[in-house]
Amino acid sequence: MGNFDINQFKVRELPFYQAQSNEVELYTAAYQSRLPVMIKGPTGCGKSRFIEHMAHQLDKPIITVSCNEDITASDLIGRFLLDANGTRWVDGPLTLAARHGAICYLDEVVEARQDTMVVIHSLTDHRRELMLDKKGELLKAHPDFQLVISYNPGYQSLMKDLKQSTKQRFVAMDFDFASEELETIIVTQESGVDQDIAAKLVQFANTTRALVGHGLDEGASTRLLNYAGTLIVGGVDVRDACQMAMVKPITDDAEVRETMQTSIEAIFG
Amino acid sequence: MTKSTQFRQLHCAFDSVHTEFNKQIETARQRLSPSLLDEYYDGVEFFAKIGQGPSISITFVSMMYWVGEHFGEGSIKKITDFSYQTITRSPNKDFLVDFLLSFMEVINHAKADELDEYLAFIDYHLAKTTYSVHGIHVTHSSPSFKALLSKIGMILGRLDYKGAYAWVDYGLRYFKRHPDQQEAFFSLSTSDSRAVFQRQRKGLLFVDVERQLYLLQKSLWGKDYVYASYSSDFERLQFFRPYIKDGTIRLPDVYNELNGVSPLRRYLALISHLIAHQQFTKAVIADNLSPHQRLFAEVFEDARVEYLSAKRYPGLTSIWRNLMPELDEFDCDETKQSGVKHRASILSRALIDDNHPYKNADILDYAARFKALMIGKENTSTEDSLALGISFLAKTKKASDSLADLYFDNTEASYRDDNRMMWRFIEREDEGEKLFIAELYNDMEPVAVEAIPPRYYDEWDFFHKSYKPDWVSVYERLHSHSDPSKIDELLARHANLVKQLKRVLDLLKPQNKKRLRYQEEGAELDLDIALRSVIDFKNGSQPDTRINSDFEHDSRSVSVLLLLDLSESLNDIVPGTNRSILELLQEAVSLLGWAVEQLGDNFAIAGFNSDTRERVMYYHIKGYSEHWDDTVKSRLADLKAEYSTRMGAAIRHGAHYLDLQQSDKKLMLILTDGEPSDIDVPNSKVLIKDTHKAVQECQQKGMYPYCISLDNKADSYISDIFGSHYSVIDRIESLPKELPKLFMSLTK
Repeated sequence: MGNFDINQFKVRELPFYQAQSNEVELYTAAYQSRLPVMIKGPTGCGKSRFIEHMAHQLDKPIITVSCNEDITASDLIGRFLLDANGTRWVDGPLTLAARHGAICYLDEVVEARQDTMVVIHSLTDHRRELMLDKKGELLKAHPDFQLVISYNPGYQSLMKDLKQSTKQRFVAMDFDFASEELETIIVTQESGVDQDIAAKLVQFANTTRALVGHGLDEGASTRLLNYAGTLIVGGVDVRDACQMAMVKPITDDAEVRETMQTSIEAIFG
Repeated sequence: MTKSTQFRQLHCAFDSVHTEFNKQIETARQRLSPSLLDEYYDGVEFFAKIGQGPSISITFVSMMYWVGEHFGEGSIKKITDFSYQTITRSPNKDFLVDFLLSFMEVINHAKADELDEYLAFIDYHLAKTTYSVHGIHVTHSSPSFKALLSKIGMILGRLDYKGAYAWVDYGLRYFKRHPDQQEAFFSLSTSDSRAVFQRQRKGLLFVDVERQLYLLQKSLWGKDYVYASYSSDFERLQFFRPYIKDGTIRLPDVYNELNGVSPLRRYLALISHLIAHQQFTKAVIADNLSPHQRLFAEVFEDARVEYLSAKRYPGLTSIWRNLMPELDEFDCDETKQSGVKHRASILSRALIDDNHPYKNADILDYAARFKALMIGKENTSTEDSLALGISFLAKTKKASDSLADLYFDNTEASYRDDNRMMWRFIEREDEGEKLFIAELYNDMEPVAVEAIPPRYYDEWDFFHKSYKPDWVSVYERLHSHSDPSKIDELLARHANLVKQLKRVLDLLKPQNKKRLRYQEEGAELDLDIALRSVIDFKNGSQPDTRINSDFEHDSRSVSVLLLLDLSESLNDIVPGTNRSILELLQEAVSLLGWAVEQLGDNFAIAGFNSDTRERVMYYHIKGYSEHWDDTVKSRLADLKAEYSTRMGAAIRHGAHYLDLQQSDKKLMLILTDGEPSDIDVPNSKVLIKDTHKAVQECQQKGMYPYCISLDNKADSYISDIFGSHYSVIDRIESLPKELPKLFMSLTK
């Protein structure tokens, strides 16, 4: 294990991130004290991008785990595997991060079952340690280790939520789609589309966001906006790009689609 | 053809015909081709000879050149032949003059090549409505022909032929044997007739796009206005214009395509214009302004709000522009007519259409001023429009403006509202407005006492395999209430049963398959974990023996509506006991209500009974969001049984609410003690079939209707209604015990 290189987890190029307010300072402050951070916000609003951006800024490696229902404690901590000589212990992502001093980012954390998440408890309070019971090791976390979790509060059902005992170990940051002006800048930067079109794309995205709860579960995200912008730069007609990137992915309801088509016409003339 | 025909002598014995003929022939010669003129002569002469007096020929003389000009070669002869064959040789000959006169309207609505279709339509109606009592001859004139002719303009204007035939068929189906009702139907004076008529309308009905319009206002402006449509068909509201008031948008119930703008876009144009006003217009005081000043201020204000709105949604401009009436600058002779409307309309166009064709210096000047204002000034206001309007009028005022003869043709843009939000009157509203509102109320059906208006539902007519539109009126009311402790007593009486139920309830946690890992025993081996156990074992540590996985059901997502039949027969005493069915029903529903509350399912209770189709009562007892508490219990304690059982309408109304619930499973339990019936329907089969149809409608919408019948003779009809989804409870005494059990087995 001595030859393990944690630096492979470093983010090499600075990902573009447009700050919406003081989130960069807030996060930096939390990191200085290694406080665990929880990031909430709708799909595609830039949560993961922000964490990558911060990891690069702080020059720390980042290990990302996308959570799902079947993830178990040993998927996070590590386990013995069979090899030619019998068995061999392999660290899980959480253990790796704690051992080598990386930021461990658990994406969509509510997808994991509540009792699985209990394993992170000892790492997220004053103890900062992790018991590897099968291996018989008590791992003290590296001074650079930090745990970050993200989730989308709007989308999950009531059933999927964090335990109070888990929630109360984190400081939280709320993310949302950027304001029209900022989102326009983001789309312009990210996709290279010109600013007027970007502004209209954002305007259209906002009309879809207004329909949440009226036939849509979620409006078009910033990510989809960027896709639309990219398509337009690639020579696709604006209306087709909107349809392809922002209407068809998010709904199958014929009436909602027609509404959106009409909105596109109203906006793009 | 020749000069000789052109100036041939009319052979006719009636002087009055000659007089009329001499008056009209000059025009006829100008309008008709020689061959048509021949047909015209022949027709006049023919009708003078058939022994019906001069009136037919006189009407023919004054009407037919218009008709001939419209429909072209051969048309006059066709009409002559048709009139003779179909009308004069039948008991309907008295209506021939009416028939000829109706062409005045027909040529406004029928296209040049539609004469045959129109005549076939008339023939169809006559053949079906003219009948014989003794079966030998056609002996009675059509009771409704005249009524039909009087509405022919509206029929041709609003319906296509398919719709017109459907409407006629409907009338014939129900009123063939009732001359008076038939006449009322075909003169469009009954609400049934109008309802059928509306369903056949050509164009896009508002109800078909209501959701889309709602989504549009929500997505484009984030607004939540309610829509209420009005019908402009039935004369009084002819000049009604859309408006917005108290969060409600009033708009026409149907739009046709106009200038290449689809009906949906027309609705969008209307709504966007109204919302633009709502956003940018601030009411100004109107008391000191003349109507003309207000008119022009409105023109500028309309253009101003549209300009502002189009900044955000430029696509709207083209729709608005296409809907603007296109007037020629010189259409209106302002020396003879008042041209204010004409001028306002031209100005409107010039303000929103940069490519307008107008050359008038004042128009150009003010269009430029408007543009400069909109571009130059940051926050324009309604006052700016007012100033422009007043100054424009001052500049262009003419003496003829106050003439009574107002140029009015095609000066209104259909999507623009009446601008009521723009004006504030310090003194009392003017009377015109009030008259208007009174008219509005006249149009509604008078409903005594009832506060909430009824909802109308279609009813299935099984004889004719079609729906009777808006046939049943359902009134929804909160059920009256009394002492809730009565229900608690009932529950206490069944303490043992309650305990039993509780045990069953604890076991009930179905639905949503969920994987269970780490099982000692289970459906299949969980390879991941098994492998892990092997490794642990090899490693010398204690292996986990829970290496199987299994499935279980998780989380109930059920909505339930319990629909109680509260008809008169519930008052019957159950044989062998001294209690009525109603009392047993209360017990059963109490137990079920309590049980479902324990389960936490989304649960509503409603009751219904009916007293003819005009009055189906739907009582709200427990709503989905209400808990099983004293309010609900007190309503349940006060149940009364009266009237009849029009089940179809109640099911449709219940389904309307159940459909809005967001659960995976929707169960509608219908508890009844007999077959569907009502006093205005002699044949019980009609309502049985209608109920069956209502049940099918529910199933199509993904609901699961299930009937619990207390009628031990139900076997003869119940499967016709509910298929296999029913239970008959033979021993009514056992209902309190059976009902909750049944519910649980259904939702397991």
